Amino acid sequence: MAERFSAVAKRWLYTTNHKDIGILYIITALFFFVAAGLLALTMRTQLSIPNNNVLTAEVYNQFVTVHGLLMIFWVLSPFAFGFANYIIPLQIGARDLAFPRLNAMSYWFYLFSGVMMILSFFFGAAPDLGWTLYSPQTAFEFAPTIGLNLGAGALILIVVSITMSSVNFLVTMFKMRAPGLKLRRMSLFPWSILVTIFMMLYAFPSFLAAVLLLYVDRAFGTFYFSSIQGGSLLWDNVFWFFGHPEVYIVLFPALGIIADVIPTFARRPLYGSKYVIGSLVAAALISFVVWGHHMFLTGYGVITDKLYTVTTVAVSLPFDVIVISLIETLAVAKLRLKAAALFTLGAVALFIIGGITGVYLASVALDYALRGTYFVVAHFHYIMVGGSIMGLIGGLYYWFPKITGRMYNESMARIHFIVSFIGFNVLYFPMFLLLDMPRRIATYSPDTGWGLLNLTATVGGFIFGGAQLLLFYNLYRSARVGPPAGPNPWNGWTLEWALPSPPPAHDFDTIPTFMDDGTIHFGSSIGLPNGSSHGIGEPNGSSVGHEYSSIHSEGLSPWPILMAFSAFIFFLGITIGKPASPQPVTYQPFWPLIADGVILGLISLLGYSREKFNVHEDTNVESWPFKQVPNMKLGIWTFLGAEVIFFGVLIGAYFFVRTASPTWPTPGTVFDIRNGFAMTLVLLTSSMTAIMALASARAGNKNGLIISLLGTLGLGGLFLYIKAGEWFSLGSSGVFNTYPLPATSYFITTGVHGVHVVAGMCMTVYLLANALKGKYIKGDHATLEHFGLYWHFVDIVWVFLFPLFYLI
Amino acid sequence: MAISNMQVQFDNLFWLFTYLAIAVSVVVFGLMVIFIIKYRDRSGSSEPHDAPILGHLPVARGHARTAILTVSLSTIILTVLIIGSFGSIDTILSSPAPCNIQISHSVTYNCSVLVTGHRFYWDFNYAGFPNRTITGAPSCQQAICIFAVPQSEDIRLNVTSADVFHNFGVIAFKVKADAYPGHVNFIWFNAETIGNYTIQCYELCGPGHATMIATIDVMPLGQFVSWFNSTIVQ
Ligand code: HEM
Ligand SMILES: [Cu+2]
Ligand SMILES: [Cu+2]
Repeated sequence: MAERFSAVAKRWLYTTNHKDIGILYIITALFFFVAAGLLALTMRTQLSIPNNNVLTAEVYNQFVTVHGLLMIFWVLSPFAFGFANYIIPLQIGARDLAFPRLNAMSYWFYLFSGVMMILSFFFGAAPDLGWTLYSPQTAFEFAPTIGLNLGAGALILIVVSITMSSVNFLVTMFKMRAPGLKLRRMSLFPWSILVTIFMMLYAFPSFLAAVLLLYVDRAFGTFYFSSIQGGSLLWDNVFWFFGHPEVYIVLFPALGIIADVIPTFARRPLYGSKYVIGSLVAAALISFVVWGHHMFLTGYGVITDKLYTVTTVAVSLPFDVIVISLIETLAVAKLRLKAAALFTLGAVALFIIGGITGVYLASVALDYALRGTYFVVAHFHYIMVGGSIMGLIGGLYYWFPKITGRMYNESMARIHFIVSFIGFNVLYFPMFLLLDMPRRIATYSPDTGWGLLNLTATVGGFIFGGAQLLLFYNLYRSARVGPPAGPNPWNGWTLEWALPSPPPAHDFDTIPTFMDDGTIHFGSSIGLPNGSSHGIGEPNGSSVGHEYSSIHSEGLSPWPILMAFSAFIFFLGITIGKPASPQPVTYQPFWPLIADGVILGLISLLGYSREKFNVHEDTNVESWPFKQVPNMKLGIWTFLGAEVIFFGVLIGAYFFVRTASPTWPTPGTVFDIRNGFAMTLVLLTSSMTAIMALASARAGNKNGLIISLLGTLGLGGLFLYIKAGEWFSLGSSGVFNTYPLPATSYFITTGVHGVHVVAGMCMTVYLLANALKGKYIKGDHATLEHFGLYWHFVDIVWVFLFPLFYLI
Repeated sequence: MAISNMQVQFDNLFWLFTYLAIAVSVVVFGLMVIFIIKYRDRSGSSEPHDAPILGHLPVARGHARTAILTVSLSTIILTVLIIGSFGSIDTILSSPAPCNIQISHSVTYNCSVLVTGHRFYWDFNYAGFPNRTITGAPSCQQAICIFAVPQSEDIRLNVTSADVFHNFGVIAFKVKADAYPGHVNFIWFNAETIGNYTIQCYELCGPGHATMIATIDVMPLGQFVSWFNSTIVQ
């Protein structure tokens, strides 16, 4: 018994299998969904009648904030990525994700970050200023609790998780598709995920930079957001540059699911799928140039306001195409109204209402009245709950038989839909009519006349919330006693339906192949429905049904969870430390936890890198447009792409405060040009030595390799030495008092860069240790090459920082 | 009823949007419902010829002309809405000329007010009289708490904040402006009907946000002049 338990525990804690991780994501997201939902129902109770006192204003503000943060970051995306984890490798015929252990690590970072967010309730007060975290209210002066530190820590951790998994998915989808599966032939769900990870890759680094600056302001008393020059506007811009794409990030995967589920149940192909894909891409691109619509009232002037009105209205066009295509799909169909179909069709209907009301808010003139009211709350719930959550629940019913091998109870599921749909509209439609009521208010007086509509909404909230019990009960029971579902209960065409339900641990025995004539070959052994026609086309080039080049190993690794746990401990140590009083800077982190985190982290890093966990790359796969690039290298390049955005935002923030400041110290007065020059030379030389290291390795010259690596390490050390000297002399000269903003931007930007240098030096030490053992000189120098890419990037960043801080 | 010029303008625009929204909804939902009812699976309905099946890529379906038609029709509707919005925003963001109210033989007033958000109240300074601060605090009970403006004049507000991000909104007038430190936002309105109207904060600013309420009192010109004389000028 105990043995069995430990085996089960080990499987789930150490798993790196994409299907297991997918299940973990889905269950965890549902857990956070319930938690955030309970917060929401409590808020609805508070608002049901005027002058209610179920919640104090302090607690209400925490609830509204954590509800929003949890739903957006810990429910919507992870729910969708649970499906992506489980289904996409099956749909593209990949063995697993490109980096299975990284995938496990993403999950554990996600789980621990959520725990941290909820922990914030127990350290003074949870974040209480809305999920938008407007500055300067985040300044220590106005939010002196540790809870907000924890919230910032949780956000940093989840951004790390999201970045890891978007790199992972990107490499997988570009490099590991089954032969013949051209991008254009993918169905809509994988397409929506592909577009989503691109948005994630460009939006989240901006958010990371923003939260980092926010945290440093709080911890060390710096001035990015607490100054007038930075302050509200800087946060607004950086946050919404991320924030609007984020709105689509949480929506697109659900749209993808909807666009795959409806054709399956309608028994007709998606109408105009080319145009639907094109629309997704177009909307994703436009989403990066509409953020100004969140600042219509901040006073940017009439030209800017009109410009953003136009871009925002324009972004609704691709969605029109998508909606019309979905509806057109139903024409001359044979529509089976199973629960999954009901939920996805319902999602389309609610999404239409959400979209139409979005056009109201895009109009700057109407926004002057509607900004910050319940009209907005209604609008985004129609999109996020009506479109996303309903769509995702449709996906849950759709894939539940595949994942568990059992059928759920159809009539209970249909009742679940009807009650949810009615409850939803009773809950949110009245909020459109409350277009005068400010959002995020803890209470209101009776003479506002808002009582009846609020009461209605609350009743709807409990109907909607209660309906979800049907979902959980149905799935919980059916997973145990439901009738066997068979491999393809819905008669779907995508590849996951070719496998038994649930699929075996290693997925396909042989790689599926897409033929030129549109047939798909699955090789042997698969649960194709009897008599279904089974491709007759000619294989294009390679042989059909060959083996994967690696049979999936046991795939258990303890290191991902340990690594995530050490990061959790580390951030806990940093964030529950005593926050700085604004002046003087007296930050006291909680050292014991930090030390634990660092030690654990080093151990798991060592374990991770020494573990034999080879993921061979299949050569016979579809990998346009990156045919020549190995997986790891593509991974590094995408990671560096995200880093570019990250530093871009840091440098942008510097420019922002600098141009907003009436005065700035002239070059040479604060930061010594000679220091900067010396550091530049040192770093550039270290790039040379890194190149020499690679050249030596290529030439098989062990001594040359070791000497060049030592040189790189030494030069990195020298750089840090000069930097540290400069930091200390500046720090002790009281520069924060004389030049608060120049000092803030200098310390933060060069600090972050310094951390990158330290990380690079750690890698060098690791490389050195291996080089001493004779590695890398026998053609196995790929790791060196990857390190080189990173190191050159760090140097290039400095080449930008040097003139910015020292010369101009 | 006309309460303020901005409210009249808002109502017109809002209904323009809503009529078009209803028209679009009728078409789209109508189509959807008709399709769902007409093409639902009934006993005897036959499998469509292009039904997707496992082992085959689904056949391509759909015409470019549908996408083009959708985009064109939407563009027409949206253009109407954009033009309407641009007209309104030009009014909202214009700056009317100062008024010139003769308070007494030596004192005139130009209808400009500086509004400052604090946690958790507003204060009001009439231009030219910075030393007479009116606090619209919820608990404020004395005469000086009334924020009065004259009827049918273009009132120009400069809105800012002394601490965090607030948003100043007069509910019935449909005017609103972000109030944040280091920046002054300009809005204006013309109140047409005498009475008391509620001012509320529209950006979460802390525990007192929900009760960050003040009142604006629209007076006939004569009454305003005497009120101004007695409370502001002194
Ligand atoms: C049982 C279902 C739900 C109920 C009753 C509910 C209710 C509420 C309420 C009362 C607010 C506060 C509005 C305010 O004071 O500004 C709110 C805010 C919010 N809700 Fe929900 N909600 C529900 C589900 C969801 C879901 C599923 C999502 C997202 C997927 C979501 C996302 C949000 C967001 C982002 C906010 C804004 C938070 C903020 O203003 O900082 N809600 N919700
Ligand atoms: Cu937006
Ligand atoms: Cu407020």
